[in-house]
Amino acid sequence: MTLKKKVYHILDAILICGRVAPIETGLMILNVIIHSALPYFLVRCSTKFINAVLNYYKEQDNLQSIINTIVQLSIVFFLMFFYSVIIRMLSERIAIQLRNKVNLEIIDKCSRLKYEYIETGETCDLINRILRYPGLDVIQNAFLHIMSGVEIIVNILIVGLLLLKQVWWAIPVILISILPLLITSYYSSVEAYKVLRWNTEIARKSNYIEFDILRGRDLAMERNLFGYAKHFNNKFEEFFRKTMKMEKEVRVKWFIRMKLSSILVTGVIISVALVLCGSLKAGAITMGFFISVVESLFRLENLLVNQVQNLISELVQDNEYFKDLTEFAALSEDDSEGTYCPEQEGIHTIEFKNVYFKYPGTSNYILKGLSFRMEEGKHYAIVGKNGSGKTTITKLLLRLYTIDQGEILINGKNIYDYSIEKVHSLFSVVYQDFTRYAITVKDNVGIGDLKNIEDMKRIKEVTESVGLKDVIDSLPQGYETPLGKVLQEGVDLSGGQWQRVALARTLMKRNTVKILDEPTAALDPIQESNLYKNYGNIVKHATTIFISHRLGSTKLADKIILIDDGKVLSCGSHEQLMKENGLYKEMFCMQKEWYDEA
Amino acid sequence: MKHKTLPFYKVLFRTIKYGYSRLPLYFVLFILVCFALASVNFISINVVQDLFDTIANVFTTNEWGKVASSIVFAGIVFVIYNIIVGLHDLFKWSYFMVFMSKILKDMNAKAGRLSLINFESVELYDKINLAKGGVRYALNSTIDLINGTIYYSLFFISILIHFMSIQPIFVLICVLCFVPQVISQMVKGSKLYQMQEKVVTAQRESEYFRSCLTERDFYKETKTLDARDYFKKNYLSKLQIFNREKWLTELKIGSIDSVLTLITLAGYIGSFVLLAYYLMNGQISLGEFSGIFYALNRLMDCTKEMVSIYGSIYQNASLAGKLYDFLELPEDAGVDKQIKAINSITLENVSFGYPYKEKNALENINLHIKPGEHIALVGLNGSGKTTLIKLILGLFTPTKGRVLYGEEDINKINKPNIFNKSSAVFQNFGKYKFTLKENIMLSEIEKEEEDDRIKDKLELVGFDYKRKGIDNNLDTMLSKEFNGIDLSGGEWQRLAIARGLYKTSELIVLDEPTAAIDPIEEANVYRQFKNISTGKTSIIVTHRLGSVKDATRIIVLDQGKIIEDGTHEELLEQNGLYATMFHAQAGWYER
Repeated sequence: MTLKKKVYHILDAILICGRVAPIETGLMILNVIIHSALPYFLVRCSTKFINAVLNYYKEQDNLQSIINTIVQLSIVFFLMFFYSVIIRMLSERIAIQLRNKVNLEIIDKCSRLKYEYIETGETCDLINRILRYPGLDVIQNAFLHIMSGVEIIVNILIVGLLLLKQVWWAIPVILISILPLLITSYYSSVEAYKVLRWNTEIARKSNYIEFDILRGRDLAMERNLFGYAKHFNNKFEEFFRKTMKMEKEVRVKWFIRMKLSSILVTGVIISVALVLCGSLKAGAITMGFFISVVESLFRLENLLVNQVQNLISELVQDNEYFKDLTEFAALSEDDSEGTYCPEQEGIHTIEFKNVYFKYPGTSNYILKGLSFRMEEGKHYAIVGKNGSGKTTITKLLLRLYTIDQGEILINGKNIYDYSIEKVHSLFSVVYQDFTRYAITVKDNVGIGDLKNIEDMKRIKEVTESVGLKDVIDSLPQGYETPLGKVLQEGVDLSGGQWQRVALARTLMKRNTVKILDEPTAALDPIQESNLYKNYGNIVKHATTIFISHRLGSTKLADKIILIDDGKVLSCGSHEQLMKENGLYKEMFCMQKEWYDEA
Repeated sequence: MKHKTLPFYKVLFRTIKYGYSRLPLYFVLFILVCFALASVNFISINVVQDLFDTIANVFTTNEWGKVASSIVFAGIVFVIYNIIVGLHDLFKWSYFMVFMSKILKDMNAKAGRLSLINFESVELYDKINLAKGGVRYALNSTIDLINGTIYYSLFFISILIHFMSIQPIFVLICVLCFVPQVISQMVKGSKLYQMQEKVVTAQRESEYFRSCLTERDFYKETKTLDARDYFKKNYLSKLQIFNREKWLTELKIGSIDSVLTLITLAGYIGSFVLLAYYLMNGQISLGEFSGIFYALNRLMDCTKEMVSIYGSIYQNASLAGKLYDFLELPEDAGVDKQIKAINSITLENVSFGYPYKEKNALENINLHIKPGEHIALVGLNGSGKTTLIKLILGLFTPTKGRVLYGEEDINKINKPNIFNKSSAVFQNFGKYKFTLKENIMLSEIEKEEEDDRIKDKLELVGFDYKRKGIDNNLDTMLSKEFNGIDLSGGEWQRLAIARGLYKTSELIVLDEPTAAIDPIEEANVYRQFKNISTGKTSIIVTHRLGSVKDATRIIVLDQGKIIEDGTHEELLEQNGLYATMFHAQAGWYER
């Protein structure tokens, strides 16, 4: 069940629908073809009807044949009327299958992408387009649009077929006459799309101003106090007008060409009608046939002139989606390398050997020859100034990024030789921006070890050890209470309580290296000291890595790694580092000074 | 709980009034264009009817030339109709867009005028989203209503007159086609509305699990927890509910549609038989028959269109109403009065409670701050520190008691006049995706830009604007998204402080602004802040007690009350909460 890597094209919409819902798709195509062939029968039946009525004047005795034609006509009407009901049901059936299969494939693929894609603007935009704007419904819509196209073509053929004897050139001429309309519609749509694409930067800026600056929640205080709303509201209007003007230019520019090409279509259809008029005069066709055909010609004119343009613009937009899909399917996944997956093995050593790393798309190295070694069962503190590269270490250990030079070894083996799942299973991390999943308390904690997510005993144990028991007892449904505002009956926790949930999450797996990546920024001093102390006690025998710019955390550490400018500046116990008289001592004294009761 | 909204007709009435008062010229022009379209449509139907008449009689009259010219004439009318449709669409689009820009601007302005307390609740956020969603519906409803009323009433009147002139009984035909359609749409509307809620809930929930798998905010953690399967399972289970509910809705709609389509079909065939009967009796000519038959088809199409347009207007009116719900939220009012200077700040018996919370966040606070004092506000999380400064700044209005600048009750004065006296750096300060310059100037955007002053402030807070990547260019864009650069957390923090300082103010508040910067920088920031804020009244809120030792006064809050107030030394001597907290922190540095 994976998204195939290939060049996707709009016609793939049919193949995809056919793959997930073969019966419905088949019925849909059949239905569309029958429906578009109905004008043929309508003309035939109404011809018979009119002729029968005309004969009735003359002969007064063929009432039966009139009734017959009315019955036939009724059947045609019936099919015409029920078409939309059937189409609606069938397309929902197809939509369900698409959601169940194709959408899931796309989402699955997306969740397996290399991490860096989601952090890079361009691919992030691509992912957004695939999943949200315009989103996953496009495949179904594209299919429906193609069906409308089929209908128009069959319609032309049917009318042409009716006229084959009298006006043999009707089919080719009508087909040729709609070419300019098709071409202008196509180019105008492409251009309009480009304008909107080009707009995306402007549109994004204007969205940013509108949603975040002017109406967002986070900036409400500054908006009030600094009083910048008016300024940016004018700017917003300016953006809005600008985009509108650009779109208007495209619309006006193509308006005349589009109308000229539709005049051509009308002209050709009127000419066909005139030629038929000659046939009628010559007695080659009956009055009934003439009237019915003229009527369906007028219908066709209406259809071509009013719908082709919109349809083309829809198809052009759909096609862009399939281009995106091609690009998306080609993105690589994160489990493409490494297969080594020893069972039951925990971490004995972690070693960075002369690691160089820069974030994709940037030119500054964050890590410049970083080397250190960690051993099982010890507590480590990684400290350093902001921007020194501390947090990058976590991301590399969890293989979110690939290093540029050097080696990272786990138990002496290159980290990139392991399977990615294995690497993930070796660590439990609390990130600074840890995630507050809107799921039940039980799952929020249990998700730290999915294999044991139903192990209530373990979950209770770890939540109690981080001091969450009282909080959970006070929740309306205890462990089964959904958190956050997404699920119904969800309850929100305070920042500190969430943090404890995140800590409990890391305790679920026993044999992992626990990493706390600056989780204390929002804590007050007593909570902060308690957190370190308690957590240290809970995980006494586990390997821990505390990453912080505050040196309070170092008290628990067996070994402190001081990082500066992408390299290890010094490494050792608190006492050793203090003796060195370097940056560590400087930082430590600075902080200590505040608390000296001089 | 169901939210009360404006009734359907009021929404439409308001939008029409709104459109007329904001854009009178467009409004009138739009009506004219609609009339033009309706008239051409009317003409085109008549022309076709005449054409069929001429054709049907051509064997008796032998006017072949007239038939040919009628066909050509019909063609010309089609072309004109087509052009008018195009113009109408173009005009409708631009009317829509201009109207939209006006409404959005009004909404933004409204959001700016709302008092801050509204932004504390999720409810407002929902309201804004709904209102924004409502804009499109309100506009479309109104435009469709104006357009539809003119177009369809002209159409129906013309058809009725036409039918009446031939056979009054044909009016019945209209009814036969019309009524089932209307009923069908109404039933559908109410059914859809009922079903919608379940479908929407399931959809929202499945969307959430989708985002856990694919959105940036969740991506890192979902990936490293290897929790994909968990969320996929949840996503699927919600999706199944969504699919099932959606299918049930469709099934219901489908069956309603089928029944009503049958009725409409019966009406249609009935009309046809009736027509055939009159034709056979010779009461109408073949030409008339064809003409009426053509008109009947147009009538069917039009009824379908009209019913679905009016149906959607009806269905969407409650959504459109959300716009007005938002625009009519109560605002802060106050006298427009300039205050000269903040002589002193006094809080008299101030209590404050957040909406929907039983317990007050602050209880009976009395405080007097003299001009030029440097106050440090400390306390545990949730003790009310941030709420207190919001009250002092005038961002919140106390539920009880008064806040005075000098002698003036600040909540009786128009807020902008209060806000322009003070500046602040908040805990969750903005990281604006604008240029470096704009990021600073933002706090005083109406004033002329002064590069020197900006650089001055940047230097003051130790922001290195000469570093690689910025290279002394104040127009550097500070956002990767807009092709600029990213700042580190510490740089952002310093920038925010520079922004706070850039604004001319008598009172400046720093609400824990140093969480993300390292200790050395932190010490520097505090030291400098003292120098920078000389001559101003300043208030610092912080956790790090060491950094505020030399404040002129330290105020300790606990559970919404002031429990200690004095200098560092005094408070240590009191051996209360402050002393406990101080020792807890200092303990970390004694080895």
